[in-house]
Amino acid sequence: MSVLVIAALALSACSIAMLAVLVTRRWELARRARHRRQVEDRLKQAALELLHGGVEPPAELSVEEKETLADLLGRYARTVRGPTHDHIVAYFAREGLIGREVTVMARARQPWRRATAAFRLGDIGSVDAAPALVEALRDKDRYVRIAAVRSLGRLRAPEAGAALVAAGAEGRAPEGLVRWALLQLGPPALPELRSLLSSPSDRERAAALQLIGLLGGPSDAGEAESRMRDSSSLVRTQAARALGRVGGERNLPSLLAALEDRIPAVRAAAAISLGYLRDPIALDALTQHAEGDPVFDVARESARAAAKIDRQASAARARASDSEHLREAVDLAGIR
Amino acid sequence: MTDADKTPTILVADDEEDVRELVTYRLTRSGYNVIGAGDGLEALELAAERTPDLMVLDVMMPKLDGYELTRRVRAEEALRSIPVILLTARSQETDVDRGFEVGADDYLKKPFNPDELVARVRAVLGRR
Repeated sequence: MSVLVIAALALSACSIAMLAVLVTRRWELARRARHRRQVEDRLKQAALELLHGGVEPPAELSVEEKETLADLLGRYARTVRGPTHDHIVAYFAREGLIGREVTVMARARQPWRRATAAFRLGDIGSVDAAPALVEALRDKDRYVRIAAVRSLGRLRAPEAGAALVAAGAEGRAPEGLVRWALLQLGPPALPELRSLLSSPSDRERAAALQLIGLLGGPSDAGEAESRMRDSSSLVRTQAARALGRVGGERNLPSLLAALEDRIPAVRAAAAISLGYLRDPIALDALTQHAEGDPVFDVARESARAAAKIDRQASAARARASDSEHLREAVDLAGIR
Repeated sequence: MTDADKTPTILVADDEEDVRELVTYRLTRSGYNVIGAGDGLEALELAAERTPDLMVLDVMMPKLDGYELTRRVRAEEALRSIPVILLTARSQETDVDRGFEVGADDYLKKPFNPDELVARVRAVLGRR
């Protein structure tokens, strides 16, 4: 028998063995899923009664049944709020499951276990877990930090505001996710955010200003205006954007001055905010920038803001000056 | 007419089994007959077959989303008077506006309070 034939036979045998392992594995996984489903079906009634009436589940549940019930309740907890949700939190607290997940999140060696615990704590929805989740924002594993941000957003714990801003500013978690979590906290997060305006980190100051613009009100305009003189252009940009939302007539001089900032992003932000405020006093300055600003974005935003304030006047100016940006902005304003 | 005939029937359509179970259980406990559907098309077929007194629809569903389903219900002579409550994770103002534009009677955002859902169901049925 040649070496080639022996090698082919050996390879075939290996392939068959591998196939058998895969089939067995798949069969075993399907069997486990079926079994879990059966356990879950048995426990559904108990879970629903606990949710809607606070009725305690049977005391004699096995460890597997308790785990399945906890998973089921965790899934239900994502969907409900109010007293129904409170029943779930109370059950988890009584069973010591919140403390157990907090311990796993803080001490487990495998990152996936810590991340899963952080994720579950958000589903359970007990604010008692907030301090531990804030700690988890400094976990060495990115996925644990991401799960902690998501869970803090779900918990809506205002005391997590500063820690979330810092996590976003330092790149420990994706900025978009951090912003989502902070918006979930809503106006109760404002005191924490305001305290961050004196942070030594310009990224933190800028992130705080951005959120103050989204969550705050007219009483925040003064602080935002004072940040227009910040040494960091990141901060000045966000201050200008915030003034468009929380500012008013008295902030116009600062925004008009920001149209002359040496950094284009600040000028563009000021133009956008002047467009939001729609005061005709800004029209001349905006059309000048629409026609003559050397930076494309600034000219475009200035033109759009001018057309928002007075479409007719901007159209006349566009005809006189032949400005492409003004023409486009007037057309767009007409479509809207 | 028996008591069972008088009990309002509510069609609950949501592709998430957990949500369907929660809503079904809560509404059944409050004394309603509940029928469930896992997607928009199944819901439309069930509605045509059973003519429920009210429909609780998820917006994001396979085959036919809640907006389109509401629009089709409103376009169908036999179904157009059935009140619709939209239940969805989408919560932006534009989504709410769109729900009302296509003919929904009420709107509830997920995560939702089951007690509030029952109160809204009662209010909508009471307006009929």
